[in-house]
Amino acid sequence: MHLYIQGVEKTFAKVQALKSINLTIQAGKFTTLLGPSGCGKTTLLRILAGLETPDSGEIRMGKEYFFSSQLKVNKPIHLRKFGMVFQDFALWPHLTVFENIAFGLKATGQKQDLKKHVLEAIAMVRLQGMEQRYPHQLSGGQQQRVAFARAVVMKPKLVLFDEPLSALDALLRDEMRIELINLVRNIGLTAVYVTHDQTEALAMSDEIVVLNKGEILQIGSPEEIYRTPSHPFVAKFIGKSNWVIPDKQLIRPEHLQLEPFDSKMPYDSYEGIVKSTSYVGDRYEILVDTVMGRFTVYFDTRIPNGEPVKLYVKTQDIHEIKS
Amino acid sequence: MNHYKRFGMTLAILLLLMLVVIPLFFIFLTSIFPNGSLNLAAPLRIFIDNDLRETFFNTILLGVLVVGGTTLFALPLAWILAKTALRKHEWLDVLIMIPFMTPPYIGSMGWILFMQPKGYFEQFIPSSSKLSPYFFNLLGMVLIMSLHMLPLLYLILRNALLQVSGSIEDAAFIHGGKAFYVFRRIVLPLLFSSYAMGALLIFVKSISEFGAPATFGRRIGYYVITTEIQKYTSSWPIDFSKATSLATVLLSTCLIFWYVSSLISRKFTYNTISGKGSEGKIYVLKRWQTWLAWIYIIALLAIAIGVPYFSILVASIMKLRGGGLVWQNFTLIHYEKLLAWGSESMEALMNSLSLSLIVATICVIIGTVFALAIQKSRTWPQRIIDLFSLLPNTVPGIVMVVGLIIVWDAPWMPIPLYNTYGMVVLTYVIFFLPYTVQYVKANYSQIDESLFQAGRVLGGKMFYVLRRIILPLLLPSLLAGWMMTFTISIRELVGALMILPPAMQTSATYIYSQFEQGDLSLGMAMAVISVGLTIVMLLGINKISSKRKWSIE
Repeated sequence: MHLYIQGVEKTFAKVQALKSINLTIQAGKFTTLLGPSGCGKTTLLRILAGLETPDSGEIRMGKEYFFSSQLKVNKPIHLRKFGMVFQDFALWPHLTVFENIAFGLKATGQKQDLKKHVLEAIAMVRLQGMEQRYPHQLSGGQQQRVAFARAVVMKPKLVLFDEPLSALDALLRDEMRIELINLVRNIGLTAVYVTHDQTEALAMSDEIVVLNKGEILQIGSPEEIYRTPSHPFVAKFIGKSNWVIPDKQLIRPEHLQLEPFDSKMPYDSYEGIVKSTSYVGDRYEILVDTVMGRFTVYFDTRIPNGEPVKLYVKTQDIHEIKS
Repeated sequence: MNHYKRFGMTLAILLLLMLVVIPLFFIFLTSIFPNGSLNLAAPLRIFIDNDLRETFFNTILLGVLVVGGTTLFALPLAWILAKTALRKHEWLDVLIMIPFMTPPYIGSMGWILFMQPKGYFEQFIPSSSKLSPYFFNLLGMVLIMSLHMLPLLYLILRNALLQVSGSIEDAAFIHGGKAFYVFRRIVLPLLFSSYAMGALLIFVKSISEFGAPATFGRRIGYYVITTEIQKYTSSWPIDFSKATSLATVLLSTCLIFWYVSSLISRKFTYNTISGKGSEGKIYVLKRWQTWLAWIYIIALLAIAIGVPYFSILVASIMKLRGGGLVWQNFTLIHYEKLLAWGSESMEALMNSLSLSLIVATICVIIGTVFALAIQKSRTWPQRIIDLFSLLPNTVPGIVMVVGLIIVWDAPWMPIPLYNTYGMVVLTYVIFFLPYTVQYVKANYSQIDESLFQAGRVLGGKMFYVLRRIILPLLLPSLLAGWMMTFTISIRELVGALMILPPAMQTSATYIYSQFEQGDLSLGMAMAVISVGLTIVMLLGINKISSKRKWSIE
């Protein structure tokens, strides 16, 4: 069942954290709330969990209302039956891996087959043999997996992720990202994932919701968000952009090249002077000053600073933001 | 340079051995030589002797009940002021500390005046006279002592609650826990180690407490080890072997409990603080719940502060004790008499003030030297100094006094200090040394060593660095240590009762003797002055530690 969020608003001490949010979370899909810090993404997630109460609006799944200012419904947190993975994992330090995962089942009185369910969850995250360990005896990645198993063991209708990878170091983060998305896909979970990391959002999501200053700017698949941003902020926040007309027309760096096209396709060209070259391993990122401003281009060799160059782009690759 | 250091360390250890460790050792020695012959089992005879056994179990029972009472008061208070919107009222913390600043003997006197037949409570509500008999028993004493200990446990529990990161509780709610279930399964277990340590601290403090049992306990015929030790050492028939047996048992009990407490803290301490999102969960209360919380806090403060302070204040300004609570019956004449130059009371007050001045100054000097020697207690001589210099705070005051009496009154003692002013100073210094040591040590450990190293690298000699860098940085803790020592010296009762030379009085012994048999109003006027000084001083310490131009981070 889809989760409908309609007209949800929230104000903290006169600061409007969320301005009338309308959003449908598709069942079985991985939806990411993406935005800079303070954009309201975490507030929205906490509202879904029930940890914050919105000022007005409605949150429901089919006929099951979680919150409605009109109907005066506010379902208590523990009755919403969601799962959540926290930024700091929030594992209970005095309970073992097994007890951490079993907590939800015990708290809601699902004692039948408890052991079987918990062991299944442990097997799923490949932590067999660590049932009796305490959280402090686990590595960061293992703690993350326990947190995940704990969130999904109850077969929740919705799992919330609050920047779960940000506490891990870079190498582990890439590894866990793949593992996490595989787990979510295999179980067929409905997931809402909060992050400020565009790489994570693009790599994991079925749908990305870009937020800024408490407003939804764009909803779409990762490809749509990257290729056809509908708002200048979205274009600037995700990926690099070269603005032909400020806030109106842009070119992604990979569409620019330093030689003319052979094809008959229409193309544009811009003259400029190389400002600097930085080597990033698999390519050179070259900053070029043009009359339109500073452009970023990718190239396969170094170009001396101050050298005049000409940049070419297919007309179809110039994206126009319609507003 | 190293020679100086080694010499200083050796001197410090020798001094502590002589002043602290040897007296405690002599208690043990005296207790196992009851009649001049060795009897290792002698201290254990208190379990055979009916009277002594009863004293022992009375003491343990009192400790247990006070822990229970304190928990009952402190846990809801800590939860309200850590987990609800009420926690923004920081001024409440200052108020809540007042019962702990009130010396228990003065608090007990206030309660006695309030609850006794024809007391102030009865004058307010005549029908309350039926309550009086229910108050003057063990439970009344437990109430008085629990209210006195309440601030300690409250602070410990509140800090522990604040350290539980919010997401740890959120996670429990999201994964299906009801409020009470989450409290029981998640919050309480995480509090366990802090609570256990707090409870043990309160237990040890309760069984070491002398003031409340000496005033309230005697009245209801409830005798504990501390009061019995005092009886056996200062009133006829004097029996040092019984006193030392009791002291040995009390000391062992305390040390065992300290040890258990350190075991618990090592085993059950969890790292509940996480980097991000650890602001702590705040529960939103409904209106009636907020009211309930306020009523609880106000009622608690009213009985913990209101009752004793009201009573001693009223007693100090009443013309006629039977005259009732009417305006015409109030006077300041008692204060006039009390502070009249040359009077017995003024002399006692001056004795207290001069003693406190001398003791505080000596403590700060020696304490700072010790704290600087201890540094971050890395080597074993440093650890020994650390342990020994904090020992007087661990050991019940009365036990320390008995040890000092045995050593300094011994026939072989060449220094004729006993029964002089110097002996009082020495006893007080030993009693209160731990405060300065602890303050300065805590302060010192916050200062990054690079600050000293920078001073040395830039060419400062050892003493120059000490004078220009270390001492100025330590100044706040020196001041705090001085003021703390001054304050508690003024009110010290047990040390004064047992060690003052004949014909010398301090404000504490004056209050005690006037309350027992004498002019109650004068005694209570002295109590008001003594408590007033305490509060002014402690507010001063608070200010010093909060208002500094710079901070050492």
